[in-house]
Amino acid sequence: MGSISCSAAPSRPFSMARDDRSTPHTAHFPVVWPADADPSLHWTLDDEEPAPFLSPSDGWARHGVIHAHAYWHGPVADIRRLRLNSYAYSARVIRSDTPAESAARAVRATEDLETLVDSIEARWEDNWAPRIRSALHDFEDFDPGFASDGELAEEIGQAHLPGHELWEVHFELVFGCGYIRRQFDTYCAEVFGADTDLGTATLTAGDHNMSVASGERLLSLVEFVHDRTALETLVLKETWRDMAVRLDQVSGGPEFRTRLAAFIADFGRKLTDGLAGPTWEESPDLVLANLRALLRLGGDFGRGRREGVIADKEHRLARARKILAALPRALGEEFERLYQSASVATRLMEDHNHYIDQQSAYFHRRLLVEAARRLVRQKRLGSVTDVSFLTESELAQALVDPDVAPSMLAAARAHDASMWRQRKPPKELGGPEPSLPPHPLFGPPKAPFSPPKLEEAPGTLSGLGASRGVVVARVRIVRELAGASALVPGEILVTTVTSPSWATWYPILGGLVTETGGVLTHAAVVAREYGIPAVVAVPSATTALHDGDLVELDGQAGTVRRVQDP
Amino acid sequence: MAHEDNCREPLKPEGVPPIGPNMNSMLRPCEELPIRVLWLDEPETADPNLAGGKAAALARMTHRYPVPPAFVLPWTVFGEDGRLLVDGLDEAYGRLSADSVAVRSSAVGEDGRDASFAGQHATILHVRDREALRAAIYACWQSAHSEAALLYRARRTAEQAERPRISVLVQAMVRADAAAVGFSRAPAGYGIDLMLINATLGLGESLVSGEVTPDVIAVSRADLSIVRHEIAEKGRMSVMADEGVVERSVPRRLQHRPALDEIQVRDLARMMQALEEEWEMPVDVEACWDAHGLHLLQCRPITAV
Repeated sequence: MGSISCSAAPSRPFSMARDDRSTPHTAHFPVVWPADADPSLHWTLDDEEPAPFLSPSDGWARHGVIHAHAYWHGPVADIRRLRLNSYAYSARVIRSDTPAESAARAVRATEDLETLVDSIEARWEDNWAPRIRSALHDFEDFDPGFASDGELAEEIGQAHLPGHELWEVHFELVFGCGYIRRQFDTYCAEVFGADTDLGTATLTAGDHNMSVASGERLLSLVEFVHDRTALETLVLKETWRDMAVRLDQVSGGPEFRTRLAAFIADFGRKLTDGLAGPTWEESPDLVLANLRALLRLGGDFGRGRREGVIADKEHRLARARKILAALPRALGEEFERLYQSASVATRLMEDHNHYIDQQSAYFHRRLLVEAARRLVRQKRLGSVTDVSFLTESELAQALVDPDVAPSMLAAARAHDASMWRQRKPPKELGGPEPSLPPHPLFGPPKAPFSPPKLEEAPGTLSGLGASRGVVVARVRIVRELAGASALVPGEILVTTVTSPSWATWYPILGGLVTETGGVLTHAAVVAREYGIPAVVAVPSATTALHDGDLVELDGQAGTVRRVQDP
Repeated sequence: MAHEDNCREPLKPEGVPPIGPNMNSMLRPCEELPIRVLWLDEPETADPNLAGGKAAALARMTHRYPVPPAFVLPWTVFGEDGRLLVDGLDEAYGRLSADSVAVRSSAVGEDGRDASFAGQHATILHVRDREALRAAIYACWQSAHSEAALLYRARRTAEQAERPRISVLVQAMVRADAAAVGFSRAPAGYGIDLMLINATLGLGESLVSGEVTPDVIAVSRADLSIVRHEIAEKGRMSVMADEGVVERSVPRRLQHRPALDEIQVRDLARMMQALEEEWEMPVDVEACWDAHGLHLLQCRPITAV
């Protein structure tokens, strides 16, 4: 069963058993605490893989969370990070407030968050969006290709300034939107009953956002190609390299080239495989693979399904309003107020990925990759991806000081990481998990669509039902977006996690299974927008299932069951 | 006529003075009493000996105050067994054109000063079709009739020894957003020269029955300013549902919000002030609000402050 993110989980009482579990020392994973690390804090493992020293926009998120706690009067004072045996651990430092101080903090936070309920659109227009634009502008202004080594080194050293600004906005926004959506969900449960299917997830499904916009734009590109036989034949058969030279010879070809470039310019600032790339700009092949999959899907290219989702939402909304019409108007007015706010919150929860997560990583990567390429050209670094074994200051230093040999350092660290990769790190280290005081930033644990299954039938995987519907189809395991081109229309995509980069693939999916996530994460939101049955938080789904397995996916019950091949 | 035995003339106002302006002028011989469905705004309906105390009081207020539309089946249209002796119910119900009606007994002799008097509790709410209306009228009449008969027997006064005269009021129900009970003069202990208002979300049923703790608002009698506004935690409210008037919990976000805003309080206070002036005594009113504004549901004189 998937767990809900620990920041949202209620604090558990301290127990000896738990304390024992946190005791670090095991023979295979010796722990030597660095002098600046506090062993009494509750340290949790960031990732089961050894942590890179440098990755796009790494560390900026942590800064954003700490900032947002200060901004919303939250209880977290700091988040510390620690590298132990190649693995990264994080620990939250909770404010040592008296109960009265915590209560006062929670009251101030509630006041501020309630103000946001009525002003979220204005906060976006007047504050968050301009700050994002300004920070992105800082990044855009710098063209790494034309910079001297010194300028590039300086830019790498300064990148955290717009980076931090973006991630401060990110968590101000995410915390605020999370609060609003929880308020709306709680309100709906109180008015319509605890087992209602009316709430943020169902009533904001199908709303427009940047992920939907990128899907729509791709669909119009598909239709453009589909209407032109010669162009369609070319697109279906050739890779970009072979197609590009022949585009001018087919009807609509030049315009297709322009439209494709415009699509990539608007939606292509995203990473497909971390530092390694390529980005859509670097290779349109991924977009073309997506386009081909949609062309093969044929019919209305999945448009009808999305229209069905919108009709379904309208129907639910009408039902909610009919119930409210019989109740005192104060209830209906509060519903509309929260609904309007939750709709904006849902849109922003999706769109901030496009503006912040993707673009900050894109621009940061652009700097790191340019620096790495220069070092590779000078034969001072083995490969571009080796840059992940250097720190930011080491990289900047290497650019300006030809005597530094970063390849040695990178190789040593790579070796270190590969050695520690064999050892399983403990998930927790140090002291017991601190209890968080009650605070409006943390609601009760999110209620999944369906309660988690305690007993699993043989051959059945369980997770959270994230988007309704039952589908029987074959499985396609895809771990990185770059592998999405293997998808056949109608197949169930099984992956670790989907980012908004996946959005344009949704129309061809029969179903979706992810290893992580919740009912309000990107995968679930977009699955509902396209009316695709989905189950999220199915641990080890990508290893338990195999390409071609025939499964029955139940998006309400949250189950994936192997079925006999007919 | 079935009610001939009960007819004495002139009808005495049954031991208590009439409410408000003197009604004696309206008393007339029994054979002249109309035997038909009466609208609340017809002059005859203001006769407590015909429409009963409750309906007559509303009839007299209907021209100057926002009383929900209603018609009355006076006691004269009922047979001894409670059957209707005249046509016209369906037509009146059609003309009333309300999604939902309340059916209340209105006994002759009941003047509202004596809250426990006959038929006080014979009320059927949220009646929504013709069949249900007929059944409700019958049930209401029966219940008030037997209750009143018991009471009369207990009183053993000669003039009340006969059959009770029960009229029935059919009133459009207000789908209330908020409801209030107001005293134009606050009971002793609350302070002098104050009006007192209790207010809640939804229909007034749970307020009147005391099932919810209402907001308490004290208004100065001198300038109608709000002196105190205590917001109660309103956990429950009465609402109209398919199955009738039911109690439901109030969403937490709304529990601590005032049921009435300042304008609503001011409007109610102003109305209480006008009623008190007209009646020349302190009044106790039931009121509610919907999308159209304030509605006056009931007004009684306060005899003991």
